[in-house]
Amino acid sequence: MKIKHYIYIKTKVRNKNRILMKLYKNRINVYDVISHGDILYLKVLESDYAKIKKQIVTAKFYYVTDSGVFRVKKMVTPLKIFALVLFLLLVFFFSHVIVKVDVIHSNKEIRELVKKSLEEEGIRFLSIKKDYQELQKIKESILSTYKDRLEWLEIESVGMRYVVRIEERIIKDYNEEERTCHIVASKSGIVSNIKSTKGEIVVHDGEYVSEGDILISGQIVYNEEVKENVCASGEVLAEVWYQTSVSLPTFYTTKTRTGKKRYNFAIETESGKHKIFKSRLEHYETEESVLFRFFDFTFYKYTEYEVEEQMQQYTLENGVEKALVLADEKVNAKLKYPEKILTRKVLKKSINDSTIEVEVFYAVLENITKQEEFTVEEKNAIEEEGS
Amino acid sequence: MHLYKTMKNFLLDFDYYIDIYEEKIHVFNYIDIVKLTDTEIVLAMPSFTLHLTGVHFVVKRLEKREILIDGQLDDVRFLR
Repeated sequence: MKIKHYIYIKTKVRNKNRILMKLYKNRINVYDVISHGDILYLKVLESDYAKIKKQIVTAKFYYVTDSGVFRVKKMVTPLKIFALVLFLLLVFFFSHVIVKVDVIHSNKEIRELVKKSLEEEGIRFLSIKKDYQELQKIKESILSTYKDRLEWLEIESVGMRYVVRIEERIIKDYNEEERTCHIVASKSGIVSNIKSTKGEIVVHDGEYVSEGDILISGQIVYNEEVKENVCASGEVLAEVWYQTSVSLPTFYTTKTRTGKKRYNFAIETESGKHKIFKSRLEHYETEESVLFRFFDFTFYKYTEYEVEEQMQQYTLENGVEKALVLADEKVNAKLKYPEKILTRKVLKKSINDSTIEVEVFYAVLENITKQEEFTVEEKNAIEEEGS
Repeated sequence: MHLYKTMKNFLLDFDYYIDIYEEKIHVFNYIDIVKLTDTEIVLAMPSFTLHLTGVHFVVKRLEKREILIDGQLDDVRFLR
């Protein structure tokens, strides 16, 4: 069935009925008439347009647009079709494709194990998302394969990622329960605080202990008889002492901002951060802010502030102050809560041409707990020898 | 409706028909347009002349044997 090709044409007229009569006389059909002031829009067959222009010379006719299917055909260009197809593909890609699989667990071995199993089941970078039933089957398959290592597994779809949470199966080693041990002092010091969860406390607060002294005994004694041997556990805090020395260069550099600033950009990938443009300032400090993230890439905006560097020299007082800050940092780095520095005293300070030397004494509250195993027969033998 | 009427006319072979609607007049199988203005339209039909009088007449569709007119119809006369 051939589709008729209609077009809209326009003309400027004072008497539209006259034009219509002329068209009628020339056997030209008009399928629609729209009037806007003295502009007349007519819908005619495309094949009649040439005839109209030739036979009606008293008015000028102009093509306006196609009508119906032909208008749609003109609007839909190959580029628009391509853009539409591309759009649909992108929508499909963003809603059905996985770009990252995040396995969350503290144990690296478990993470690698699960990640490898997921890859074997078809869950990897740029794979298609699975439906609920398939995910359940994969979960059950991995859990049954590693039933001695994994307690529970959950796969959650978050955007274009799968987030996999795991619970490891921890099988208690009952042989461990048969161990016997004491808690001994790892360092000499004055006992400050003892907490015992198992075993008998043999020292008290304020008592000086040497390295190796038993603090919590694994032998439970009653009426001078050993009733039970256990693996003692607990925590003992004691005041211990350190002497540390810090050496600081006499000259140091200060940076003052001049007020000039420049902008730059950087991209961070797995291999590190890389600046996009070369820095235009010779000496500068940088402040960064995240612009956006895209898959594994992070884009940063850098603000580079020009600085003026000046060489300064420490006086003894300033230098000692700075050295103490450094010494505190050095000691604090080794401590974790509830350990802390109790007191500090400068033992020696000196300044020469190029360095400032400071020696500092610290009294630190530290955890001196250390477990030491003993065997029951060995212990009995030692006691028999003693008696 | 027009399709139905066309088929009916084709099958039953009527000479003409005239439909009058609210502010629309449709005439099928006229012979000629004698007069065409905003207030009066005269059509030559097979066996008579049709006079349509009214206001704001606008031809909406004009084909070889049929015409559709928009407007307010005040008077219809058949002159034989």
